[in-house]
Amino acid sequence: MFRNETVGNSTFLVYDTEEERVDELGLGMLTNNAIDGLLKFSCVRKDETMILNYDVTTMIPLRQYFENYLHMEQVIHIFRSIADGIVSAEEYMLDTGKLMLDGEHIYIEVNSGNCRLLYLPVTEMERERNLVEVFKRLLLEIRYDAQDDNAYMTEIINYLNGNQKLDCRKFGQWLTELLVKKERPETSVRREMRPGADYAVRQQEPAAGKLFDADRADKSGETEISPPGISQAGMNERIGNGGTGQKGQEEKKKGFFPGFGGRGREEKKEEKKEEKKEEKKTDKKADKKLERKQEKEEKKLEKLREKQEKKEAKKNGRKKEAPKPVSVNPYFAIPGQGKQEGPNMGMAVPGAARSGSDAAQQGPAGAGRREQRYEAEQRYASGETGGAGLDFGNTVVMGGQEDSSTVILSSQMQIAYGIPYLKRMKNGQKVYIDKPLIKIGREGKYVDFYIGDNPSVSRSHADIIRENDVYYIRDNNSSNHTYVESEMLTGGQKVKLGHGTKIRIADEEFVFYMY
Amino acid sequence: MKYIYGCTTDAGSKKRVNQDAVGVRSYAVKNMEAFFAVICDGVGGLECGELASADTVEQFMNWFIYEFPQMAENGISETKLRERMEYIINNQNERLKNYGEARSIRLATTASMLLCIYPYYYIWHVGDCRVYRMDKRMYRLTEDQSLVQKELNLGRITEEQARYDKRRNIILQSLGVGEAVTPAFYTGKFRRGDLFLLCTDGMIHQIEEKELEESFGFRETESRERMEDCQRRLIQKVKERGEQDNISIITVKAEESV
Repeated sequence: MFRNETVGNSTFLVYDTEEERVDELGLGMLTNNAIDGLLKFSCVRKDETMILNYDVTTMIPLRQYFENYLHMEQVIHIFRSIADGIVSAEEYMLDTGKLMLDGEHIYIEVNSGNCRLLYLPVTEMERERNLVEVFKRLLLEIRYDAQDDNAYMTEIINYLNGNQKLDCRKFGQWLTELLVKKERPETSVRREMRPGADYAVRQQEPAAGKLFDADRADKSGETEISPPGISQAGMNERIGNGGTGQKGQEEKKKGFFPGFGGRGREEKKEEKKEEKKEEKKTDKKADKKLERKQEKEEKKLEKLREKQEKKEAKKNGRKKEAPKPVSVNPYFAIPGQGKQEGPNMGMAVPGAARSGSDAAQQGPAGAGRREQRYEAEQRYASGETGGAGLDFGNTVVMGGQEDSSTVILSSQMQIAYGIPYLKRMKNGQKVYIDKPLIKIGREGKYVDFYIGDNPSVSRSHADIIRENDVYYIRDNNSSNHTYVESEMLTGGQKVKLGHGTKIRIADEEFVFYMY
Repeated sequence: MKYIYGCTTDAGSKKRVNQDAVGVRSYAVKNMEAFFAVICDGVGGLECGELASADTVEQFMNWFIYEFPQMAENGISETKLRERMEYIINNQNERLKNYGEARSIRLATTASMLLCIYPYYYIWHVGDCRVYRMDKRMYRLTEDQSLVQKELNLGRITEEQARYDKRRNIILQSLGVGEAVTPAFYTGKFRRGDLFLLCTDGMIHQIEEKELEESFGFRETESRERMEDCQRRLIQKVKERGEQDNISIITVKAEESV
């Protein structure tokens, strides 16, 4: 079986086997070539044992990566990367039956999303040869981003079902085409710079990708921002493409409905009128439905509030009382009193306003604690409490499902309990372990605890894992390792944590607190 | 470059609890000051909106205090910045959901974040708070993620109808409800002397944007105290006109350092 081993800055997946069981051809190919898409390989003979080493430094098993929700681009990229790896292996005349094509033995580089496959050149090794089944199994292991249009999955499954003998080269090409076809439209809104537009948008990325490199700062003078060419009236109309009125008209001009060949203009007009009428009817129906739903929700909310107030009044022996500051947790930050030490759910008191400014930076980031000045302001409405009628203008989220078991917890009912946290000693940065997996590293789009100013920290360096209220730390085959109480962890190894446990991630000191 | 900024938040004339939360901070990096503001409006139709908004402000302020200096020190690209912010936004969405599920409650909040690093600004936007930029005139930088805005965009209602539409409080996206959040991202350039204004929707129901624009002249933005005085007057005006919702406002002006 496999085991992890650390040598210097590298982490290896190691497999011991008897020399006679080794497939010499495969071994030769792996040893003498750097094969794209496969894990870097080396081997050592020791007596009659072959020790096969696979370099997995800074990579994690695909199964671990699947603990995150993935969106379409990531899934397609992973599959394409695996397909490419299989193609590479075939080009070197390697037996694809000896590729370990499962989530535990496929490794992925977190920053690039590229996968690397493990080829095990052992004669009796016969893994799944049906590549269709391999990809289908992987599909089932993935957690999908629900906001995606997941129709692409149907297409992948249909493709796999339609190709009993999968040609990975063609599959890879097809995946590329699928990605192009399905690519999400720009999800962020950028306003283009146009004459008469009200706002300017940078036309190009900053030089060399650095935002704040003073040496490269744009010293060419200020870019002229186009003055607005549209009147003040109807501010919203200036947004985007000429305003909602215009846009609405444009769409009307285009027509929402395809024309019918051979029909006259009059008929088309009539059709459009009819369709608009229908649309209005459905809109009105939809409006009424929404209104009724809203009224229902407001009534429910009002009932819950009245119930809550009666309970509180009963408890305090008062009929009506002046509004109290809402204090959800005695250990929360309380305005004017600063943050409390101790159990902290990491939530601040409602209505808090904070402001502060740092003293000018005196040196490298993180050198000493900066003076932090927070001013907290809290405002509460005075006057009648509850029962004063429906809340006016409560924001309601579209699509939120009403949960019949929802209750409102009064501040008295909420009890503070400790949530463990990890503290970085250099700057006091904390992360609360409020979910089963907390990722630590340098990759901004992947980790929860971002360590960006220390290049010796790997991109996905280590994880804090919570299992049944027990906490562990796991090293992810990092280059500069993870240490618990000065003991180095091997890649993939999990070590239990307790209150006050000292952790070192590369050369960064941390302490784990249970409360 | 330096920033003059102020913020004010008010529960409004009717609400018991202020479910708005705001945070502002500046930071010096490589002879340039960066500024960060976050404004959140807890979803009042759900429980503990105030918790959601306050915690969200805290998470983003922590990002600016601890992570941004690290990113800035090494030099970062807009891509990295966006990747990180989108991760934090979705992580916060997850946190709020998990918190709610563990206690059988639902809590959610809108959030708009403004990061200024001269000469560029960056905005991440979820919900229906507003971000404006003013030089000689006022420009709205964000689009409401609301049902009414959608109807407006589709041409089904007019501006005037939108102002009084009963559905104006229905938002399409917030932190704490959906599986994932896709924030709108805006970026552009600003000049010295420009003013940014962030506010929750309680500020804009009873006031014309022109009035907002006229309120913040040169004198009103000379110092933090003047800014906050002006903010308080505006809030009072809006309350007198019958606004019942929570009201919050942040203004920040980019000035030449002396």
